[in-house]
Amino acid sequence: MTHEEIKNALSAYMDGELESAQKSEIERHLGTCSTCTAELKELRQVASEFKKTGAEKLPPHIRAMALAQSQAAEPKKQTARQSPGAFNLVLVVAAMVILVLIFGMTLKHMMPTLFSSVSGSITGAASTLGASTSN
Amino acid sequence: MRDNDAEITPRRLLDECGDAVFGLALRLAGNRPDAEDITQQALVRALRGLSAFRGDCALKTWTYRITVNVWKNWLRDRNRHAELQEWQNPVDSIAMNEPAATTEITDIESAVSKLPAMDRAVLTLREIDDYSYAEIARALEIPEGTVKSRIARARDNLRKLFFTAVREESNDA
Repeated sequence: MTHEEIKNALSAYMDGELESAQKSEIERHLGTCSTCTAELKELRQVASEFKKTGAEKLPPHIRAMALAQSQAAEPKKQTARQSPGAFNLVLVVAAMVILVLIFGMTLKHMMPTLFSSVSGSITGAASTLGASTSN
Repeated sequence: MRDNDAEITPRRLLDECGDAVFGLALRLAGNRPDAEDITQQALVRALRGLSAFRGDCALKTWTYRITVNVWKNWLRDRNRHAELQEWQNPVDSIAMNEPAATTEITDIESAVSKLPAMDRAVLTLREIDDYSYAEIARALEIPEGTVKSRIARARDNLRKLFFTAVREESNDA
C-alpha cells in the first residue's frame, strides 16, 4: 500500500475492520512513519471525544405519546372488524320490513272486509277533519 | 444478531430501542424539536408494526431502519430534496476537506454538526453503539463499502475541524 492508501485505511484499522495482511502492513508502516502515527492518535482522540457525547435519553413525553398514539390505532382496526356486523344489522332491519309488508299483504288478502272498514274509518276521519278545518 | 428469544412487547421495544432511536434521530435532524418529531413517528410505526418483526436482525437495527425511513419521508414532506439526494448519492456528496468553519467550532458537538447527515449517522452507530461496518450497513441500508469510506472521511473531517480549532484557540491565547 502507498502512504496515501495507508492514511485512508487508518480508520478501518482502528475499528479492526481490516484483513490480517493489511493490518500487519499498516503496523509495519506505523513503526517508521511519525505522520501516520500522529494522525492515528488524533483519529483515536476524535473517536473518544465523540463517544463522550454519549447516548441520548428518550424524553419521557415522547415515549408516552408514542405509546398512546400506537394504541390509538387499535380502535380503528376494531371498527374495521365491526363493519360486517353493521352490515348484518342493516340486513336484519331490511328483513323485518319485508316481513311486515308480507304480513300486511297476507292480512289484506285473507280479511278484505277488515281493510275496507279500516280504510273507510280513515277516509271518514279525514273528511271530518277537513270539514271542521274549513269551518 | 437475532432477537427471537422472547416475546417483544411494546414496553420492551421502548426500553431497548427508545434511547437509540432518539439518538439517531437527533444526529440525522441536527436539532431537538425535529428529532422528537421523527422519533415519535418512528416509534409509533415500530410499535404498530411489531407483529411484522421477524427477528432476522437485531430489534435495534430494525428500529434504526424505520427511523431512517421516517426521516427520509420527513425530508420529502418539507421539500428538503438536497439532503435526501445527499443520502441517496453519497459518492457525489459535498466533501469537507477544508476546515473553513473553525471559528464556529468550540467543541466536538459543533464539529459534528458540520458533517453531512450520513456521516453523523455512521459515526453514531460506530462510536455509540459499537456496531461493526456490516451492522451499520444493514441498519442504514447502505453498502458496506460506503460505510467504510464514510467513517474514514467523517473522522478525518472531524479531526481537521476539531484540531484546527484547538490549535487556533491555543494560538489566540
